[in-house]
Amino acid sequence: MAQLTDARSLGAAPDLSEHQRASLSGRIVQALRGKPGLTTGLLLLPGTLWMLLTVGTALVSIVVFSFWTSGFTGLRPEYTLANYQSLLRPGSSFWGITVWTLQVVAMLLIGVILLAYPVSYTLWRVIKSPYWKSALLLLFIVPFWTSYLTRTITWLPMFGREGVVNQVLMGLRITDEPVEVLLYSEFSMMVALWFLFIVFMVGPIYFSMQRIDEDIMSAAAVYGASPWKTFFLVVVPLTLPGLMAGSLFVVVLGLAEFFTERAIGGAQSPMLAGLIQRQIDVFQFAGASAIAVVLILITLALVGLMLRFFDIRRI
Amino acid sequence: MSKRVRNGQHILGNLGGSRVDRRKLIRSGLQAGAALGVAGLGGLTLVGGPGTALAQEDPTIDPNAPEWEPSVTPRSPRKYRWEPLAEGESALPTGLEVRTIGLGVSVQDRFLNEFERRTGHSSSGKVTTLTAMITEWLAGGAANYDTNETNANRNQALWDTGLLQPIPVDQVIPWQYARDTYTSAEALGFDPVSGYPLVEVWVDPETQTEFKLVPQFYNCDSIGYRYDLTEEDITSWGSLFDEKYAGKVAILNDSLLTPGWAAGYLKASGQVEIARTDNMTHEELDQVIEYMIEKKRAGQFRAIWEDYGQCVNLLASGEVWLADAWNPVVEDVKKQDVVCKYAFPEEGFTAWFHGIAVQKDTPNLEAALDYVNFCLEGWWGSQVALQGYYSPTTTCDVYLNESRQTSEDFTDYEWWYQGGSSPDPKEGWPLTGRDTGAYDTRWGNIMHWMTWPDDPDYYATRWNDFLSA
Repeated sequence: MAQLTDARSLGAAPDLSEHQRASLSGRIVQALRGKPGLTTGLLLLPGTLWMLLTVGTALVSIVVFSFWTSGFTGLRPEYTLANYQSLLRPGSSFWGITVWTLQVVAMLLIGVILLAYPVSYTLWRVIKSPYWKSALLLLFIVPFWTSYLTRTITWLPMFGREGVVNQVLMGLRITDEPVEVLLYSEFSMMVALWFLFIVFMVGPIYFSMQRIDEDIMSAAAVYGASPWKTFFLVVVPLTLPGLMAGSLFVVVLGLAEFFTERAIGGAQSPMLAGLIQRQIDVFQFAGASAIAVVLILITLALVGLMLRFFDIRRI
Repeated sequence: MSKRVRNGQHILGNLGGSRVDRRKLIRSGLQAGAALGVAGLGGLTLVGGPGTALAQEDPTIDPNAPEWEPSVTPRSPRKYRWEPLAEGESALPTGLEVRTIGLGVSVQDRFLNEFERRTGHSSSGKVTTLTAMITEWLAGGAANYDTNETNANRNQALWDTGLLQPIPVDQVIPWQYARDTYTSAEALGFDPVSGYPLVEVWVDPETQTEFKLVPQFYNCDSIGYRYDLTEEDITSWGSLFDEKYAGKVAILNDSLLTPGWAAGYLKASGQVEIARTDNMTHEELDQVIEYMIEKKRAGQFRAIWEDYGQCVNLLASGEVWLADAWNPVVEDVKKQDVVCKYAFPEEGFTAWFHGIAVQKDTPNLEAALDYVNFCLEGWWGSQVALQGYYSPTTTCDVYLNESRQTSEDFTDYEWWYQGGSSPDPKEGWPLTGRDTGAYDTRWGNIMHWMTWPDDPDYYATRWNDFLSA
């Protein structure tokens, strides 16, 4: 059976015994001998079928539903372009919300990159003890063992009028009254989002840094590069695979974000994913599907753009 | 004989050890064997068989017992399974089950536990949101449930798609004690334009022989406010737009309800001409949304609240001073020793009712009807009264007359239905009765019922415009 797992070796499969030839697996090996394309196809078949069934069906359904008609009693298969016309008409709030969504994702991405590099670098170079490295990395990851919702609403007692931050600020006499912008604002939403997503960036960048050969760092130092120069001209380029992997996570998940805006941002600045839910609230499933289709297209475009500038096989 | 059977019941009850265990026992399929064993012990005969889902006889039930009347005191024998049962006793398991779905306010373990204890039916309840519930049923999930506890304006979707069965009025015994809100077009709060609430209760509001859904609990909504912070009583929906409270207001993220009360304020104050605030035309809604956008841009709203707990936290923490809240929200805030009141708005309250509908092909019809009757028997209504909700039947009055859980000075009936010290809305603090006054005072002041508008899509679109402004 071992031969079956390596398509490339099939072309030169060893001679089979009489008994092996007689068995089912033996007959399969015989049939596939010299046909690596067919073998690869067969190996890909279960996964492909599974993805087609689960992801493919859902995607196709969403696209089809986006051309149907919403009704109080459910979707009706009456084809129309009205959902897209309503969504994409000039003056529709969709445009502003799309721009805002992209802004949030951009701020999210820039923020987590700026936070993740110092954190990863510290873990990689500054902390020498492997014990402390592991302990700090674990500390960093542990909060992410809890639910996404729990991690989000944790910011309520942190940033509220009577929250930890305001208590400290007032305790230090920095302010006399609670700072209200700390909660239910775009600022608080971004802080929560950076916290939620930073693990997706720190992990890949840190592991990319670990793969940098120590000799390269030494060479940079020997040739007189300052630590900053080494960081920007050596470390950053060599950690691009990690940066790109993290960015893919952040962009794709960030575009689908809706809960943080609702819970921490005060629900006053919805993003595209939030629009979908608000349509569903009033049984506008076709309209929700149309937004979903547009959101998927935007996601694909962004991911495509990122991959155009970076070969994902380097990750 | 009854004593031996009762002992048998205790044995069965003890077998489970706890109610949760008993449910597991029932659900695991062992229940049938256990019931057979105990029934044999008492010399009983099981009726019905697989698929027919008929309950076995219960020794505490006598069909010839005198007709039921609302009473706090359990009687023996009982005529119906849903009647009160003496403390410490549990009915024999019937093998029937009720699978219900609804909001957290009505689907609660304490209610289902009492239902199981009285009837011997097992139960399961799923707590969800209104939208998710209707969506699940429309998407084919209805077969997984026997009953549905939902807001009447959304129940229309289930009725129109044929997922429900009409419920004969004579199968709902406590209905003979119904409040006229659900039987008469002359009742306080009846809306002759929309026909609410009668049009959603009855298959035919004229004959009133069959329910579309049986009213379960209801209320009228207004504004919750921190009296200690506002230092004045709030008496208008307009206070939510008052510059004096800029940055201190939270409003509900709902494309139908929030523009509805805003329209009520703008109409009453003469700023916008609106025919029906519950079902606006595009032009009317446009003007309401534009007004709200203007207010939003001026920083009027601190937050758009999304769910019950969030609204409680917003008011209790003082993040906001006033919000278009639900009555139980205010009661929950008060429980945290915070000075919070519910407003009596001059433009009127927004009314709604929830009901229980029965799934068309339920295999547990008998148990489902027992559940409907149980919710109207009085005990259930008395429990939700403490959250500020009303019961559509007067059967809860006997329970509320005997309890003083809200105030030492008044019975719960006097407090929640009669307004305590007076039927009028209460000024200032501390309260000497229900802040919004007596039942008639409230229901004589209705702005509109929560109906389903002709063009909800337009409501959603314009609401998104408001949110993203």
